[in-house]
Amino acid sequence: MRRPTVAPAIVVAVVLAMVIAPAPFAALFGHGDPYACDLARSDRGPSWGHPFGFDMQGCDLYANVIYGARPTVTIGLLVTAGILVVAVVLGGAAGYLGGVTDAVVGRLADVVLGFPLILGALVVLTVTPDRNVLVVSAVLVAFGWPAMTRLMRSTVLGAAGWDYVLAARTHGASAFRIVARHVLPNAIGPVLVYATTAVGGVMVAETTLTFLGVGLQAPEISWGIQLADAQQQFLQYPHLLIAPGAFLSVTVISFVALGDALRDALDPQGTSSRAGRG
Amino acid sequence: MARYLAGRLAQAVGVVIGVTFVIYSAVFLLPGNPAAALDGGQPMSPATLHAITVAYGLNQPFIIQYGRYAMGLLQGDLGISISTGQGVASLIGQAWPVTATLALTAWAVEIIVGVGSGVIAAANRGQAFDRLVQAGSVLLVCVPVFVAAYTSQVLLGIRLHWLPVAGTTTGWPASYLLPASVLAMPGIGAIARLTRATMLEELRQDYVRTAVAIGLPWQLVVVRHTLHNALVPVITCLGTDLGFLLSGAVVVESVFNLPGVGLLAYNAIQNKDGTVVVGVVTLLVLVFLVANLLVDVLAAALDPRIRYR
Repeated sequence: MRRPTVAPAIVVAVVLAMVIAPAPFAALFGHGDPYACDLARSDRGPSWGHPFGFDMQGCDLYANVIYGARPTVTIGLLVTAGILVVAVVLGGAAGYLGGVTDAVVGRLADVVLGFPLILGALVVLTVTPDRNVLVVSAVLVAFGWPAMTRLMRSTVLGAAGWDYVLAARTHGASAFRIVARHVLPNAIGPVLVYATTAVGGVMVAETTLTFLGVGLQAPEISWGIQLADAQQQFLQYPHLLIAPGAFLSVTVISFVALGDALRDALDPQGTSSRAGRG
Repeated sequence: MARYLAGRLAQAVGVVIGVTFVIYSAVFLLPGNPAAALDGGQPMSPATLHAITVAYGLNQPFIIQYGRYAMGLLQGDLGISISTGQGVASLIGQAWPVTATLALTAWAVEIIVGVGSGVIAAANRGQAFDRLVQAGSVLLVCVPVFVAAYTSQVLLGIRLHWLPVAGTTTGWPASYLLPASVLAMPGIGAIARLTRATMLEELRQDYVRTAVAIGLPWQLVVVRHTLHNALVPVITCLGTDLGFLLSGAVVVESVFNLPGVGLLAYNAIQNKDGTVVVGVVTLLVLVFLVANLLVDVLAAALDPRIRYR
Protein backbone atom coordinates (compact mmCIF):
# COMPACT_ATOMS: atom_id res chain seq x y z
CA MET A 1 0.00 0.00 0.00
CA ARG A 2 1.22 3.49 -0.75
CA ARG A 3 1.72 5.56 2.36
CA PRO A 4 1.26 9.32 2.57
CA THR A 5 4.72 10.85 2.10
CA VAL A 6 4.19 14.46 1.03
CA ALA A 7 2.05 15.67 3.93
CA PRO A 8 4.37 14.43 6.73
CA ALA A 9 7.41 15.76 4.89
CA ILE A 10 5.78 19.22 4.63
CA VAL A 11 4.79 19.19 8.31
CA VAL A 12 8.30 18.19 9.38
CA ALA A 13 9.81 20.92 7.16
CA VAL A 14 7.44 23.57 8.61
CA VAL A 15 8.16 22.45 12.19
CA LEU A 16 11.92 22.59 11.56
CA ALA A 17 11.52 26.10 10.10
CA MET A 18 9.54 27.04 13.24
CA VAL A 19 12.36 25.75 15.41
CA ILE A 20 15.05 27.67 13.52
CA ALA A 21 13.14 30.96 13.13
CA PRO A 22 9.95 31.10 15.24
CA ALA A 23 9.43 34.88 15.01
CA PRO A 24 7.87 35.13 11.50
CA PHE A 25 5.53 32.20 12.21
CA ALA A 26 4.46 33.67 15.55
CA ALA A 27 3.75 37.04 13.92
CA LEU A 28 1.40 35.58 11.28
CA PHE A 29 -1.78 36.63 13.08
CA GLY A 30 -1.04 39.11 15.85
CA HIS A 31 1.89 40.73 17.66
CA GLY A 32 3.60 37.34 17.93
CA ASP A 33 5.41 38.10 21.20
CA PRO A 34 5.13 35.18 23.66
CA TYR A 35 6.20 37.42 26.56
CA ALA A 36 3.72 40.26 25.90
CA CYS A 37 1.20 39.32 28.57
CA ASP A 38 -1.79 41.16 29.99
CA LEU A 39 -3.46 39.67 33.06
CA ALA A 40 -6.74 41.38 32.12
CA ARG A 41 -7.01 38.89 29.25
CA SER A 42 -6.27 35.80 31.35
CA ASP A 43 -7.74 32.55 29.93
CA ARG A 44 -9.75 34.37 27.23
CA GLY A 45 -10.82 32.24 24.26
CA PRO A 46 -9.77 32.83 20.64
CA SER A 47 -10.27 36.32 19.22
CA TRP A 48 -9.17 38.39 16.19
CA GLY A 49 -5.35 38.30 15.94
CA HIS A 50 -5.14 35.65 18.69
CA PRO A 51 -6.36 32.43 17.05
CA PHE A 52 -5.77 30.19 20.09
CA GLY A 53 -6.77 32.71 22.77
CA PHE A 54 -4.75 33.46 25.93
CA ASP A 55 -3.24 31.43 28.77
CA MET A 56 -3.64 32.04 32.49
CA GLN A 57 -1.01 34.80 32.52
CA GLY A 58 -2.79 36.52 29.62
CA CYS A 59 -0.05 35.66 27.12
CA ASP A 60 -0.95 34.99 23.48
CA LEU A 61 -1.24 31.18 23.30
CA TYR A 62 -0.56 30.98 19.55
CA ALA A 63 2.83 32.72 19.89
CA ASN A 64 3.66 30.50 22.89
CA VAL A 65 2.81 27.31 21.02
CA ILE A 66 5.02 28.38 18.08
CA TYR A 67 7.97 29.17 20.38
CA GLY A 68 7.20 25.99 22.39
CA ALA A 69 8.24 23.85 19.41
CA ARG A 70 11.90 24.71 19.86
CA PRO A 71 12.87 22.83 23.08
CA THR A 72 10.72 19.78 22.36
CA VAL A 73 11.91 19.32 18.77
CA THR A 74 15.51 20.18 19.72
CA ILE A 75 15.47 17.45 22.37
CA GLY A 76 13.90 15.03 19.86
CA LEU A 77 16.69 15.64 17.33
CA LEU A 78 19.53 15.92 19.87
CA VAL A 79 18.62 12.70 21.68
CA THR A 80 18.17 10.80 18.42
CA ALA A 81 21.55 12.07 17.17
CA GLY A 82 23.18 11.05 20.47
CA ILE A 83 21.61 7.60 20.39
CA LEU A 84 22.70 7.24 16.76
CA VAL A 85 26.33 8.02 17.69
CA VAL A 86 26.23 5.51 20.57
CA ALA A 87 24.60 2.92 18.29
CA VAL A 88 27.22 3.36 15.54
CA VAL A 89 30.16 3.16 17.98
CA LEU A 90 28.93 0.45 20.39
CA GLY A 91 26.75 -1.46 17.93
CA GLY A 92 29.47 -1.32 15.25
CA ALA A 93 32.15 -2.49 17.69
CA ALA A 94 29.94 -5.25 19.14
CA GLY A 95 28.87 -6.50 15.72
CA TYR A 96 32.28 -6.37 14.04
CA LEU A 97 34.64 -7.31 16.89
CA GLY A 98 32.33 -9.81 18.61
CA GLY A 99 33.77 -11.73 21.57
CA VAL A 100 34.31 -9.82 24.80
CA THR A 101 33.24 -6.45 23.32
CA ASP A 102 29.98 -7.95 22.14
CA ALA A 103 29.35 -9.58 25.53
CA VAL A 104 30.05 -6.37 27.49
CA VAL A 105 27.86 -4.22 25.24
CA GLY A 106 25.15 -6.87 25.31
CA ARG A 107 25.07 -7.10 29.12
CA LEU A 108 25.11 -3.29 29.48
CA ALA A 109 22.19 -3.10 27.07
CA ASP A 110 20.36 -5.77 29.09
CA VAL A 111 20.66 -3.72 32.27
CA VAL A 112 19.51 -0.47 30.63
CA LEU A 113 16.65 -2.28 28.86
CA GLY A 114 15.56 -3.42 32.33
CA PHE A 115 14.30 0.15 32.81
CA PRO A 116 11.20 1.31 31.06
CA LEU A 117 12.49 4.62 29.53
CA ILE A 118 10.27 6.98 31.51
CA LEU A 119 10.93 5.28 34.88
CA GLY A 120 14.70 5.35 34.42
CA ALA A 121 14.73 8.99 33.35
CA LEU A 122 12.32 9.86 36.18
CA VAL A 123 14.69 8.56 38.88
CA VAL A 124 17.76 10.33 37.51
CA LEU A 125 16.05 13.63 36.66
CA THR A 126 14.60 14.09 40.16
CA VAL A 127 18.21 14.17 41.35
CA THR A 128 19.05 17.05 39.01
CA PRO A 129 18.11 20.53 40.23
CA ASP A 130 18.85 22.49 37.00
CA ARG A 131 17.15 20.66 34.18
CA ASN A 132 17.73 22.31 30.83
CA VAL A 133 17.51 20.95 27.29
CA LEU A 134 21.03 19.45 27.45
CA VAL A 135 20.54 17.68 30.78
CA VAL A 136 17.19 16.17 29.79
CA SER A 137 18.70 15.09 26.45
CA ALA A 138 21.71 13.44 28.12
CA VAL A 139 19.49 11.44 30.49
CA LEU A 140 17.22 10.31 27.64
CA VAL A 141 20.28 9.20 25.63
CA ALA A 142 21.62 7.31 28.67
CA PHE A 143 18.40 5.27 28.95
CA GLY A 144 17.39 5.17 25.28
CA TRP A 145 20.42 3.76 23.43
CA PRO A 146 20.05 -0.06 23.67
CA ALA A 147 17.31 -0.65 21.08
CA MET A 148 19.11 1.16 18.26
CA THR A 149 22.49 -0.29 19.29
CA ARG A 150 21.09 -3.81 19.05
CA LEU A 151 19.68 -3.05 15.60
CA MET A 152 23.07 -1.63 14.51
CA ARG A 153 24.86 -4.70 15.87
CA SER A 154 22.66 -7.07 13.89
CA THR A 155 22.94 -5.11 10.61
CA VAL A 156 26.75 -4.87 11.06
CA LEU A 157 26.87 -8.64 11.66
CA GLY A 158 25.05 -9.10 8.37
CA ALA A 159 27.17 -6.64 6.39
CA ALA A 160 30.50 -7.92 7.79
CA GLY A 161 29.99 -11.37 6.29
CA TRP A 162 30.41 -10.32 2.64
CA ASP A 163 33.37 -11.32 0.52
CA TYR A 164 34.57 -7.75 -0.09
CA VAL A 165 35.05 -7.35 3.68
CA LEU A 166 37.23 -10.45 3.67
CA ALA A 167 39.06 -9.04 0.63
CA ALA A 168 39.72 -5.76 2.45
CA ARG A 169 41.02 -7.71 5.45
CA THR A 170 43.40 -9.76 3.33
CA HIS A 171 44.70 -6.48 1.92
CA GLY A 172 45.67 -5.56 5.47
CA ALA A 173 43.11 -2.78 6.06
CA SER A 174 42.63 -1.81 9.72
CA ALA A 175 39.47 -2.77 11.55
CA PHE A 176 38.44 0.89 11.77
CA ARG A 177 38.90 1.41 8.04
CA ILE A 178 36.97 -1.75 7.16
CA VAL A 179 34.05 -0.78 9.40
CA ALA A 180 33.97 2.86 8.29
CA ARG A 181 34.44 2.28 4.55
CA HIS A 182 32.93 -1.12 3.83
CA VAL A 183 30.60 -2.24 6.61
CA LEU A 184 28.83 0.90 7.86
CA PRO A 185 27.54 2.18 4.50
CA ASN A 186 25.78 -1.16 4.01
CA ALA A 187 24.58 -1.50 7.58
CA ILE A 188 23.27 1.95 8.45
CA GLY A 189 20.11 2.10 6.28
CA PRO A 190 17.65 0.37 8.65
CA VAL A 191 19.20 2.26 11.58
CA LEU A 192 18.54 5.64 9.94
CA VAL A 193 14.95 4.61 9.26
CA TYR A 194 14.56 3.63 12.90
CA ALA A 195 16.11 6.94 13.95
CA THR A 196 13.56 8.98 11.97
CA THR A 197 10.74 7.16 13.71
CA ALA A 198 12.47 7.47 17.09
CA VAL A 199 12.42 11.31 16.99
CA GLY A 200 8.66 11.21 17.60
CA GLY A 201 9.00 8.82 20.52
CA VAL A 202 11.66 10.98 22.18
CA MET A 203 9.43 14.06 21.93
CA VAL A 204 6.61 12.17 23.62
CA ALA A 205 9.01 11.04 26.37
CA GLU A 206 10.23 14.62 26.93
CA THR A 207 6.74 16.11 27.21
CA THR A 208 5.68 13.27 29.51
CA LEU A 209 8.64 13.93 31.84
CA THR A 210 7.98 17.69 31.77
CA PHE A 211 4.32 17.00 32.46
CA LEU A 212 5.27 14.91 35.52
CA GLY A 213 7.40 17.82 36.74
CA VAL A 214 10.87 16.38 36.17
CA GLY A 215 11.53 17.69 32.65
CA LEU A 216 12.04 21.29 31.51
CA GLN A 217 11.13 24.11 33.89
CA ALA A 218 9.56 27.57 33.52
CA PRO A 219 10.48 30.22 32.33
CA GLU A 220 11.39 27.98 29.40
CA ILE A 221 8.56 27.90 26.82
CA SER A 222 7.73 24.35 25.80
CA TRP A 223 4.77 22.19 24.82
CA GLY A 224 5.31 20.00 27.86
CA ILE A 225 5.17 22.99 30.26
CA GLN A 226 2.07 24.38 28.49
CA LEU A 227 0.34 21.01 28.80
CA ALA A 228 1.36 20.66 32.45
CA ASP A 229 0.00 24.16 33.20
CA ALA A 230 -3.20 23.50 31.28
CA GLN A 231 -4.11 20.53 33.50
CA GLN A 232 -4.98 22.90 36.38
CA GLN A 233 -7.81 24.50 34.42
CA PHE A 234 -8.65 22.32 31.45
CA LEU A 235 -12.25 21.92 32.61
CA GLN A 236 -13.07 25.61 32.23
CA TYR A 237 -10.56 26.40 29.48
CA PRO A 238 -9.99 23.37 27.22
CA HIS A 239 -8.34 25.59 24.56
CA LEU A 240 -5.21 25.66 26.77
CA LEU A 241 -4.85 21.89 26.36
CA ILE A 242 -6.02 21.50 22.78
CA ALA A 243 -3.56 23.87 21.04
CA PRO A 244 -0.22 22.48 22.32
CA GLY A 245 -1.64 18.94 22.41
CA ALA A 246 -2.63 19.08 18.73
CA PHE A 247 0.72 20.61 17.65
CA LEU A 248 2.64 17.94 19.57
CA SER A 249 0.53 15.05 18.23
CA VAL A 250 0.69 16.20 14.60
CA THR A 251 4.48 16.70 14.80
CA VAL A 252 5.05 13.25 16.34
CA ILE A 253 2.77 11.55 13.79
CA SER A 254 4.61 13.31 10.95
CA PHE A 255 8.03 12.08 12.09
CA VAL A 256 6.73 8.53 12.47
CA ALA A 257 4.96 8.63 9.08
CA LEU A 258 8.14 10.01 7.48
CA GLY A 259 10.12 7.13 8.98
CA ASP A 260 7.59 4.64 7.60
CA ALA A 261 7.77 6.19 4.13
CA LEU A 262 11.57 6.15 4.31
CA ARG A 263 11.51 2.46 5.21
CA ASP A 264 9.22 1.67 2.28
CA ALA A 265 11.58 3.52 -0.05
CA LEU A 266 14.83 2.01 1.27
CA ASP A 267 13.58 -1.43 2.18
CA PRO A 268 10.60 -2.44 0.05
CA GLN A 269 10.55 -6.00 1.39
CA GLY A 270 10.17 -4.81 4.98
CA THR A 271 13.13 -6.80 6.33
CA SER A 272 14.33 -4.12 8.73
CA SER A 273 13.08 -3.90 12.30
CA ARG A 274 9.59 -2.64 12.84
CA ALA A 275 8.92 0.91 13.93
CA GLY A 276 9.89 1.88 17.46
CA ARG A 277 7.63 3.57 19.92
CA GLY A 278 7.87 6.09 22.72
CA MET B 1 14.90 -26.25 27.11
CA ALA B 2 16.59 -26.64 30.55
CA ARG B 3 19.76 -25.07 29.18
CA TYR B 4 17.87 -22.16 27.65
CA LEU B 5 16.00 -21.68 30.95
CA ALA B 6 19.21 -21.68 33.01
CA GLY B 7 20.92 -19.17 30.69
CA ARG B 8 17.90 -16.87 30.64
CA LEU B 9 17.61 -17.04 34.46
CA ALA B 10 21.31 -16.21 34.96
CA GLN B 11 20.90 -13.23 32.65
CA ALA B 12 17.87 -12.03 34.63
CA VAL B 13 19.79 -12.19 37.94
CA GLY B 14 22.65 -10.14 36.45
CA VAL B 15 20.20 -7.55 35.16
CA VAL B 16 18.48 -7.28 38.56
CA ILE B 17 21.81 -6.56 40.28
CA GLY B 18 22.77 -3.99 37.62
CA VAL B 19 19.38 -2.29 37.70
CA THR B 20 19.18 -1.95 41.50
CA PHE B 21 22.74 -0.59 41.52
CA VAL B 22 21.89 2.07 38.90
CA ILE B 23 18.71 3.11 40.74
CA TYR B 24 20.40 3.26 44.11
CA SER B 25 23.36 5.28 42.83
CA ALA B 26 21.03 7.76 41.14
CA VAL B 27 19.06 8.39 44.32
CA PHE B 28 22.19 8.43 46.50
CA LEU B 29 23.38 11.40 44.45
CA LEU B 30 20.32 13.47 45.47
CA PRO B 31 21.64 16.85 46.61
CA GLY B 32 21.23 17.71 50.29
CA ASN B 33 21.10 15.55 53.38
CA PRO B 34 17.72 13.75 53.45
CA ALA B 35 17.85 13.87 57.26
CA ALA B 36 17.58 17.68 57.06
CA ALA B 37 14.16 17.28 55.41
CA LEU B 38 12.83 15.88 58.70
CA ASP B 39 13.04 19.24 60.52
CA GLY B 40 9.28 19.82 60.17
CA GLY B 41 9.87 23.51 59.51
CA GLN B 42 11.63 23.99 62.86
CA PRO B 43 15.33 24.70 63.39
CA MET B 44 17.24 21.49 64.17
CA SER B 45 20.40 21.31 66.28
CA PRO B 46 23.52 19.82 64.64
CA ALA B 47 23.53 17.09 67.29
CA THR B 48 19.97 15.99 66.38
CA LEU B 49 20.80 16.12 62.70
CA HIS B 50 23.87 13.97 63.34
CA ALA B 51 21.83 11.49 65.41
CA ILE B 52 19.27 11.09 62.61
CA THR B 53 22.01 10.79 59.99
CA VAL B 54 23.67 7.98 61.99
CA ALA B 55 20.33 6.32 62.77
CA TYR B 56 19.52 5.97 59.06
CA GLY B 57 23.11 4.99 58.20
CA LEU B 58 23.46 8.02 55.91
CA ASN B 59 27.06 8.70 57.06
CA GLN B 60 28.40 5.37 55.81
CA PRO B 61 30.18 4.86 52.48
CA PHE B 62 27.93 4.47 49.45
CA ILE B 63 28.90 0.86 48.75
CA ILE B 64 28.02 -0.21 52.30
CA GLN B 65 24.67 1.56 52.09
CA TYR B 66 24.00 -0.24 48.81
CA GLY B 67 25.04 -3.58 50.33
CA ARG B 68 22.67 -3.10 53.27
CA TYR B 69 19.91 -2.10 50.87
CA ALA B 70 20.51 -5.16 48.66
CA MET B 71 20.53 -7.52 51.67
CA GLY B 72 17.27 -5.97 52.86
CA LEU B 73 15.79 -6.30 49.39
CA LEU B 74 16.51 -10.05 49.39
CA GLN B 75 14.55 -10.29 52.64
CA GLY B 76 11.65 -8.24 51.32
CA ASP B 77 12.69 -5.15 53.29
CA LEU B 78 12.54 -1.99 51.19
CA GLY B 79 13.53 0.43 53.96
CA ILE B 80 11.58 3.16 55.73
CA SER B 81 10.00 6.22 54.13
CA ILE B 82 12.08 9.19 55.21
CA SER B 83 9.13 11.60 55.18
CA THR B 84 6.46 9.52 56.94
CA GLY B 85 8.47 6.88 58.85
CA GLN B 86 6.27 4.09 57.44
CA GLY B 87 7.79 0.95 55.93
CA VAL B 88 8.13 1.27 52.16
CA ALA B 89 7.02 -2.33 51.70
CA SER B 90 3.75 -1.69 53.53
CA LEU B 91 3.15 1.57 51.58
CA ILE B 92 3.63 -0.36 48.35
CA GLY B 93 1.54 -3.24 49.69
CA GLN B 94 -1.42 -0.90 50.20
CA ALA B 95 -1.09 0.74 46.79
CA TRP B 96 -0.10 -2.28 44.72
CA PRO B 97 -3.58 -3.81 44.06
CA VAL B 98 -4.73 -0.61 42.32
CA THR B 99 -1.76 -0.60 39.93
CA ALA B 100 -1.98 -4.35 39.30
CA THR B 101 -5.69 -4.05 38.48
CA LEU B 102 -5.02 -1.07 36.22
CA ALA B 103 -2.12 -2.70 34.35
CA LEU B 104 -3.86 -6.07 33.94
CA THR B 105 -7.07 -4.42 32.69
CA ALA B 106 -4.99 -2.39 30.23
CA TRP B 107 -3.15 -5.54 29.15
CA ALA B 108 -6.46 -7.32 28.54
CA VAL B 109 -7.79 -4.38 26.50
CA GLU B 110 -4.53 -4.36 24.55
CA ILE B 111 -4.63 -8.08 23.74
CA ILE B 112 -8.32 -8.17 22.81
CA VAL B 113 -8.44 -4.97 20.74
CA GLY B 114 -4.86 -5.03 19.39
CA VAL B 115 -4.58 -8.69 18.37
CA GLY B 116 -8.21 -8.80 17.24
CA SER B 117 -8.01 -5.77 14.96
CA GLY B 118 -4.58 -6.84 13.65
CA VAL B 119 -5.85 -10.29 12.67
CA ILE B 120 -9.04 -8.96 11.07
CA ALA B 121 -7.06 -6.31 9.17
CA ALA B 122 -4.57 -8.88 7.83
CA ALA B 123 -7.33 -11.30 6.80
CA ASN B 124 -9.05 -8.49 4.88
CA ARG B 125 -5.96 -6.84 3.43
CA GLY B 126 -6.47 -3.58 1.53
CA GLN B 127 -10.12 -3.21 2.52
CA ALA B 128 -11.71 -0.41 4.50
CA PHE B 129 -11.11 -1.97 7.93
CA ASP B 130 -7.46 -2.64 7.11
CA ARG B 131 -6.94 1.00 6.15
CA LEU B 132 -8.70 2.12 9.33
CA VAL B 133 -6.42 -0.07 11.46
CA GLN B 134 -3.30 1.16 9.67
CA ALA B 135 -4.17 4.84 10.09
CA GLY B 136 -5.62 4.41 13.57
CA SER B 137 -2.62 2.48 14.91
CA VAL B 138 -0.20 5.27 13.95
CA LEU B 139 -2.48 7.76 15.66
CA LEU B 140 -2.70 5.66 18.84
CA VAL B 141 1.08 5.15 19.06
CA CYS B 142 1.77 8.86 18.58
CA VAL B 143 -0.66 10.69 20.86
CA PRO B 144 0.97 11.14 24.30
CA VAL B 145 -0.81 9.25 27.08
CA PHE B 146 -1.47 12.35 29.20
CA VAL B 147 -3.02 14.26 26.28
CA ALA B 148 -5.33 11.29 25.61
CA ALA B 149 -6.04 11.00 29.33
CA TYR B 150 -7.23 14.60 29.74
CA THR B 151 -9.15 14.64 26.47
CA SER B 152 -11.05 11.44 27.32
CA GLN B 153 -11.60 12.64 30.87
CA VAL B 154 -13.29 15.81 29.57
CA LEU B 155 -15.25 14.15 26.76
CA LEU B 156 -16.38 10.83 28.26
CA GLY B 157 -16.38 11.73 31.93
CA ILE B 158 -17.48 15.34 32.24
CA ARG B 159 -19.38 16.17 29.04
CA LEU B 160 -21.07 12.80 28.45
CA HIS B 161 -21.13 11.43 32.05
CA TRP B 162 -20.48 7.89 30.75
CA LEU B 163 -17.69 6.92 33.15
CA PRO B 164 -16.30 8.11 36.49
CA VAL B 165 -13.74 10.92 36.17
CA ALA B 166 -11.35 10.07 39.01
CA GLY B 167 -10.68 7.81 41.99
CA THR B 168 -11.53 4.16 42.57
CA THR B 169 -14.73 4.59 44.60
CA THR B 170 -16.99 2.90 42.02
CA GLY B 171 -14.74 -0.17 41.92
CA TRP B 172 -13.82 -2.45 39.02
CA PRO B 173 -14.61 -2.22 36.13
CA ALA B 174 -16.25 1.24 36.02
CA SER B 175 -13.42 3.12 37.74
CA TYR B 176 -10.70 1.36 35.77
CA LEU B 177 -12.24 1.22 32.31
CA LEU B 178 -11.31 4.73 31.18
CA PRO B 179 -7.78 4.89 32.71
CA ALA B 180 -6.97 1.38 31.48
CA SER B 181 -8.16 2.14 27.94
CA VAL B 182 -6.10 5.33 27.84
CA LEU B 183 -3.08 3.45 29.21
CA ALA B 184 -3.52 0.71 26.62
CA MET B 185 -3.80 3.07 23.63
CA PRO B 186 -0.13 3.12 22.48
CA GLY B 187 0.08 -0.63 23.08
CA ILE B 188 -3.07 -1.29 21.03
CA GLY B 189 -1.52 0.59 18.12
CA ALA B 190 1.82 -1.24 18.37
CA ILE B 191 0.26 -4.68 18.85
CA ALA B 192 -2.21 -4.16 16.00
CA ARG B 193 0.61 -3.12 13.62
CA LEU B 194 2.82 -6.04 14.66
CA THR B 195 -0.01 -8.61 14.52
CA ARG B 196 -1.04 -7.39 11.08
CA ALA B 197 2.55 -7.54 9.78
CA THR B 198 3.34 -11.02 11.13
CA MET B 199 -0.07 -12.36 9.99
CA LEU B 200 0.54 -11.04 6.45
CA GLU B 201 3.98 -12.68 6.48
CA GLU B 202 2.48 -15.97 7.65
CA LEU B 203 -0.44 -15.85 5.18
CA ARG B 204 2.13 -15.84 2.33
CA GLN B 205 3.44 -19.29 3.36
CA ASP B 206 2.97 -22.37 1.22
CA TYR B 207 0.92 -24.24 3.79
CA VAL B 208 -1.71 -21.49 3.69
CA ARG B 209 -1.99 -21.86 -0.09
CA THR B 210 -2.31 -25.62 0.36
CA ALA B 211 -5.02 -25.22 3.00
CA VAL B 212 -6.98 -22.87 0.74
CA ALA B 213 -6.45 -25.18 -2.24
CA ILE B 214 -7.90 -28.21 -0.49
CA GLY B 215 -11.01 -26.15 0.16
CA LEU B 216 -10.79 -25.07 3.81
CA PRO B 217 -12.82 -21.96 4.62
CA TRP B 218 -10.69 -18.77 4.87
CA GLN B 219 -11.73 -18.03 8.47
CA LEU B 220 -10.61 -21.52 9.54
CA VAL B 221 -7.25 -21.11 7.78
CA VAL B 222 -6.66 -17.79 9.52
CA VAL B 223 -7.72 -18.85 13.01
CA ARG B 224 -6.60 -22.51 13.15
CA HIS B 225 -3.47 -22.57 10.99
CA THR B 226 -1.92 -19.12 10.84
CA LEU B 227 -2.67 -17.43 14.16
CA HIS B 228 -0.55 -19.81 16.28
CA ASN B 229 2.58 -19.16 14.21
CA ALA B 230 2.01 -15.45 13.91
CA LEU B 231 1.51 -14.86 17.62
CA VAL B 232 5.04 -15.68 18.86
CA PRO B 233 6.53 -12.23 18.09
CA VAL B 234 3.34 -10.63 19.42
CA ILE B 235 3.72 -12.46 22.75
CA THR B 236 7.34 -11.28 23.03
CA CYS B 237 6.17 -7.74 22.31
CA LEU B 238 3.48 -7.97 25.02
CA GLY B 239 6.28 -8.55 27.57
CA THR B 240 8.17 -5.41 26.54
CA ASP B 241 4.88 -3.62 26.51
CA LEU B 242 4.29 -4.21 30.21
CA GLY B 243 7.18 -1.79 30.77
CA PHE B 244 5.28 0.93 28.95
CA LEU B 245 2.15 0.06 30.91
CA LEU B 246 3.96 0.34 34.26
CA SER B 247 5.65 3.66 33.44
CA GLY B 248 2.43 4.91 31.86
CA ALA B 249 0.68 4.01 35.12
CA VAL B 250 2.63 6.80 36.86
CA VAL B 251 1.09 9.32 34.41
CA VAL B 252 -2.40 7.81 34.27
CA GLU B 253 -2.67 7.36 38.03
CA SER B 254 -1.76 11.00 38.62
CA VAL B 255 -4.29 12.23 36.02
CA PHE B 256 -7.14 9.99 37.22
CA ASN B 257 -6.10 10.20 40.88
CA LEU B 258 -5.89 6.44 41.38
CA PRO B 259 -4.10 5.58 44.66
CA GLY B 260 -1.62 3.09 43.16
CA VAL B 261 2.18 2.81 43.29
CA GLY B 262 2.47 5.25 40.36
CA LEU B 263 0.87 8.00 42.39
CA LEU B 264 2.97 6.94 45.39
CA ALA B 265 6.17 7.30 43.32
CA TYR B 266 5.05 10.62 41.88
CA ASN B 267 4.32 12.08 45.33
CA ALA B 268 7.58 10.65 46.71
CA ILE B 269 9.53 12.38 43.95
CA GLN B 270 7.92 15.70 44.91
CA ASN B 271 8.91 15.09 48.59
CA LYS B 272 12.43 13.89 47.67
CA ASP B 273 11.60 10.70 49.57
CA GLY B 274 14.41 8.62 48.07
CA THR B 275 13.66 5.26 49.70
CA VAL B 276 10.06 5.28 48.45
CA VAL B 277 11.16 6.19 44.89
CA VAL B 278 13.80 3.45 44.98
CA GLY B 279 11.31 0.95 46.41
CA VAL B 280 8.58 1.64 43.85
CA VAL B 281 10.87 1.80 40.81
CA THR B 282 12.75 -1.33 41.94
CA LEU B 283 9.47 -3.18 42.32
CA LEU B 284 8.15 -1.99 38.93
CA VAL B 285 11.42 -2.96 37.24
CA LEU B 286 11.41 -6.38 38.96
CA VAL B 287 7.83 -7.01 37.83
CA PHE B 288 8.86 -5.96 34.34
CA LEU B 289 11.87 -8.33 34.35
CA VAL B 290 9.89 -11.28 35.74
CA ALA B 291 7.12 -10.71 33.18
CA ASN B 292 9.70 -10.65 30.40
CA LEU B 293 11.28 -13.84 31.72
CA LEU B 294 7.88 -15.58 31.67
CA VAL B 295 7.10 -14.21 28.21
CA ASP B 296 10.46 -15.42 26.82
CA VAL B 297 9.94 -18.89 28.30
CA LEU B 298 6.42 -18.98 26.83
CA ALA B 299 7.77 -17.93 23.42
CA ALA B 300 10.50 -20.61 23.62
CA ALA B 301 7.86 -23.20 24.49
CA LEU B 302 5.76 -22.15 21.47
CA ASP B 303 8.65 -21.86 19.01
CA PRO B 304 11.49 -24.40 19.46
CA ARG B 305 13.83 -22.38 17.20
CA ILE B 306 14.17 -19.69 19.91
CA ARG B 307 15.79 -22.18 22.34
CA TYR B 308 18.79 -22.67 20.06
CA ARG B 309 19.42 -19.09 19.03
